[in-house]
Amino acid sequence: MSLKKIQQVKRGKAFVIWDILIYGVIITVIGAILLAVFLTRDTSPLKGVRISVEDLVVYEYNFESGDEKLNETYVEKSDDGKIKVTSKYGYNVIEINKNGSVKVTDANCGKLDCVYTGELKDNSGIIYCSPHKLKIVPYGFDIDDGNIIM
Amino acid sequence: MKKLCASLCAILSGLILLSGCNTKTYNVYSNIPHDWTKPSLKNYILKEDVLSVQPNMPEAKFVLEGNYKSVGKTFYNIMTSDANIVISDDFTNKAQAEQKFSSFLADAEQILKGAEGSLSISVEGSAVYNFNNADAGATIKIDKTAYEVLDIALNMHEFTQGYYNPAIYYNVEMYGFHEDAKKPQAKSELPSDEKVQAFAELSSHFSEVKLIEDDGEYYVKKPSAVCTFEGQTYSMKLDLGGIGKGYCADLISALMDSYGYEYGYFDFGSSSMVCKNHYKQGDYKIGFRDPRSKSAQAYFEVFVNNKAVSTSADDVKYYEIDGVRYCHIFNPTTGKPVDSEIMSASIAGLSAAKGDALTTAIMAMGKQKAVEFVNTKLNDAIVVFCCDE
Repeated sequence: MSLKKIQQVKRGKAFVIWDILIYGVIITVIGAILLAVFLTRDTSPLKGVRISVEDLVVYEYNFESGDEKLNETYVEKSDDGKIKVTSKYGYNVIEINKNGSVKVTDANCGKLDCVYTGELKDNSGIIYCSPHKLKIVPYGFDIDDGNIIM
Repeated sequence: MKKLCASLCAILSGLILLSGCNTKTYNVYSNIPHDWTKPSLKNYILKEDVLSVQPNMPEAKFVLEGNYKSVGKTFYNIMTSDANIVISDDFTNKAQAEQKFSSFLADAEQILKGAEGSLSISVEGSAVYNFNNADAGATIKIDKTAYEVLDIALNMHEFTQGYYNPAIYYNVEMYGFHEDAKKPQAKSELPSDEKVQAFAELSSHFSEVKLIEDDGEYYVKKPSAVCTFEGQTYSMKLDLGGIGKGYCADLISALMDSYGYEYGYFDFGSSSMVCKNHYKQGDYKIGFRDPRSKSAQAYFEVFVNNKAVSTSADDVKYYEIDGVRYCHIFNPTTGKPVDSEIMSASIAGLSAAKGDALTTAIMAMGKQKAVEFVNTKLNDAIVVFCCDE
């Protein structure tokens, strides 16, 4: 780079008005997307939860009717109402609060991200234990909406 | 500033180009009148090779009054799959409706467990287990379930000119598709052509299976053909799991009828199902899964009621070695996993057991034969299949 060019760069402004405008547009778009995601999330109370391991549903609980479906090969119920899901990857202890929330209280997955995720109280999130391929997702829709994929 | 704009334009153009390049197109063949329905994904192109038929579509029923709701139960690990029952019923008299559903579930469970006890290849003492472990040429006493399923299997074997063949057992096993079997990890671990052909030849004797009914007792005579390979002699073995699921679906459909359930469906392993009416909309919308997508999106949808629906696809169980896909559906003539261009085949309107056998056969036939077969022999069913050509 020639000395003249270096001097030109030094004289130039760090930001010209068009740069600031473009950065502004990008920040506005990102902000709008985040806002849309936040505003449209479903924060209605949990109607039920479905727990699956590697896409195999092992447990379902309907908070409205109290109906429960469990696969005894994977799920063991304890006297304190907690359930223990054990697969070839390991175990997760899950507390189903009949008032409408669910959380993982113990696991042998290492980092314990699933435990630290906290309580699932509405339809806006899921709990996922990556090492154990275990998912806890809100489940409250009509079990037969007339659409079937096979 | 100009550089910044140019960079943004370049990134944007690249993204647009990439999104366009990734969309591979596939062809769809269907005998549903083409003005009725179209593929639901843009990269699936409907072709004209299959002649349209006027499918028998009963008028759908739906509920106008009453306190209807849907209830369901999943039976896990039946014949290595999960079976899902959903019933919609009037719960105005809740106790009565619950008692009826509970009794229905008990009967359904008995049917499913009974079929598993008869058709399982691994349950000791099941009819199929006894057949598989008997000597060549032996006559084996079987139960009515195994007799009926074998009868359907033999009929479908003949109807499809051998493309449906449940005796391809050893080949399925040597490619690692039986439960607990070791899957080949490299090309060198794949079975040799000589071995594959030897066992495919054994399976070609399936039509020699003889069914005998005598005074309310049921028997099957095993073919005397054997395969001798590397000093060991093997007699024929069967796996009726696929068609068995369809058979169960047909029995559950009849059970729903006997309980007076007009609304709901039964789905067995996402390959066989029977649907009645949907209580709100009449028809069920059945989507056939895109076999090249990891998400559950449908490439084609049909609206049906009171029908059995079956699907076979090459993405259900498969592995890849050196870019070659090996799936769990076999071509009985080669003894190898299907390498025809058909990725998925679906049939609605026949019994579920027949549908299961026919979708498997269509997968094995390859496109040209499948088109001829559908045009000449399947005018009474809805058929959809898709190809990577």
